[in-house]
Amino acid sequence: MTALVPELLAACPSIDHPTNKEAEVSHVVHREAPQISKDPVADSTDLYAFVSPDQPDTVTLIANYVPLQAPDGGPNFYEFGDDVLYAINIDNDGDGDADISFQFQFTSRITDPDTFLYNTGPITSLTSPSWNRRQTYSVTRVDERGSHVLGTGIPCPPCNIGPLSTPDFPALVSEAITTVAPGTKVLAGQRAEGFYVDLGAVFDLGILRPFEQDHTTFGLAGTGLGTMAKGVNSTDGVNVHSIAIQVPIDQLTADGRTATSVTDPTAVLGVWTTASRQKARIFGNWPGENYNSGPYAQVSRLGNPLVNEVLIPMAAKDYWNSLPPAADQEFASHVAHPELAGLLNVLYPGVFPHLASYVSSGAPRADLLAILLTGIPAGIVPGFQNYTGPRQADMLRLNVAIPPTTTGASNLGLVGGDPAGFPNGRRVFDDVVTIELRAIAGATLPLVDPGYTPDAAAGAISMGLTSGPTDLTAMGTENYLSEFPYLGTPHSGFAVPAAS
Amino acid sequence: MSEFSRRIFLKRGTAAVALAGAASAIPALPALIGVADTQAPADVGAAESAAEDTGPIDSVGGPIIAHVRDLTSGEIGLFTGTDEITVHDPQLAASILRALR
Repeated sequence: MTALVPELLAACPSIDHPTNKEAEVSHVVHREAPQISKDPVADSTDLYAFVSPDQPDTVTLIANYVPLQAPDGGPNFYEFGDDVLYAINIDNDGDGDADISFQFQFTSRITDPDTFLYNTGPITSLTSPSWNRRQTYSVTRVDERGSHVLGTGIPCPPCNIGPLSTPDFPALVSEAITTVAPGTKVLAGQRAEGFYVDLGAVFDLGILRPFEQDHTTFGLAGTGLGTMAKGVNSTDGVNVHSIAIQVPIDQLTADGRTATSVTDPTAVLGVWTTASRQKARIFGNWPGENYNSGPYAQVSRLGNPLVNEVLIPMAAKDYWNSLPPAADQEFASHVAHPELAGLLNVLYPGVFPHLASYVSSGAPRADLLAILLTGIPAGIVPGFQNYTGPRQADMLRLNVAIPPTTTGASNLGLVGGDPAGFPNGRRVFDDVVTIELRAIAGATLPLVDPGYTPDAAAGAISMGLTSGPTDLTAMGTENYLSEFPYLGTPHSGFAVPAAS
Repeated sequence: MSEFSRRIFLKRGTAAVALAGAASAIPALPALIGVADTQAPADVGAAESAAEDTGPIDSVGGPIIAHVRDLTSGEIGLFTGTDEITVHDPQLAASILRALR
């Protein structure tokens, strides 16, 4: 360990080694399977936070819900939950609690109760009388000064159905983008999924198709593995529901100004999204209707990608979802000693020998604790910091003093030499799965321990979904936009599966 | 929540009874709340007098849902709107149980 390690460990004062804490956690979760996976309208899938490349005095925040939408899923197409309180939260003083929260609540309406159809003719505007099932929403900013309604009755665009029902979908989106305050605009509705990952491989006992020839295969014969293969994008051709808001930076920082120095502590914002439901619900209180009552209880949370999915044990996932980032010290041991780091050498024997030795030593992963729970202090990466203080909290940490990279951006973000990308916030095209897998495999350990030499494989791990770090159009995500809302036009139901 | 006292809640609960057609998760609950109102109040708002509970009443504006968490201790969660209060009233809990039988 070098001098940098104590610095990081000091920033993360309470690193718990795995003990019987998991047993304690298991007492407070409802059951062994994650509840939120059964509640897709409240299931946060991805969160993005970045300095807007075309409006660099603003930050764009995007929270995605309702995952893996088949575009042709009609006639009851996808929408937000009317009974869910969605929020995008900002911590600007490093305590892991929200200082600013943008809250979104939706209302659905049927204009023609006598038809089963989503629409009875082309939807050519947001006021089209042929559009039967529509949603509007309110936006409320909650901060230390109180609760301020920024807008009500804001229309969502419809889902992208096809050339007859939604003949000019981008025009509907343009109509739906609403300015709710000076410099602040919002959009809530269906977008093309921008996240890319080979779910089918990675959750089949850790297959990485580009490395599959090295997988242990557990001695099974005839698996079909054994030749280097390209990745398969599981989100190719699917849609998601996005809540996007673009806000002037000086309306988010603690001191109300836009920091220009990267080392300015006020330049770093912590961001996460939450979904909450009222605690009591009665089904069938009225025919076809439910009644919700009581205060809102948080059922979903997302800051950094993959933290809950990959680092938190299954028995604790829904419990983790119910907590604020300020409570994440309880889970720090799972970051300091990630299960996956130990598994890599088991699944790929001999491929990660240096990592295996490090894991065996029991040394905590100060690099991961910094990247995911405190931010990276100054002095670790030249010219960069996104440290928010010693409080361990899973948040996307965005240093707003770092300008957006407009040319030569790397989908590997900071580890690709591009400080405007993950883990400095997250852009829509960042290859976060590859970045995090490489980090867990030891590629970022030299940041805190220059004496550690990463295994060659650590820097070569890839989902196999891009042609290289400068490829910003991963398979199925070629619809990224250069302006708000940045995530692409959703795939239309008519075109899918034909287009795929 | 902190300012949402048992007295106010009970008044609103009684109001819900008075409103024609006001729904309740447990049909007998409003009456039971009335019982509790005149019997020994438990933890929440225990210091408030019964006389206060008979003052002017306001509409609760919606159904009330009761969650009897523990019959022995009488811990009951009461939900209305976006509010929740917890009372500890074994007699009220016992009354609800009797109503269910």
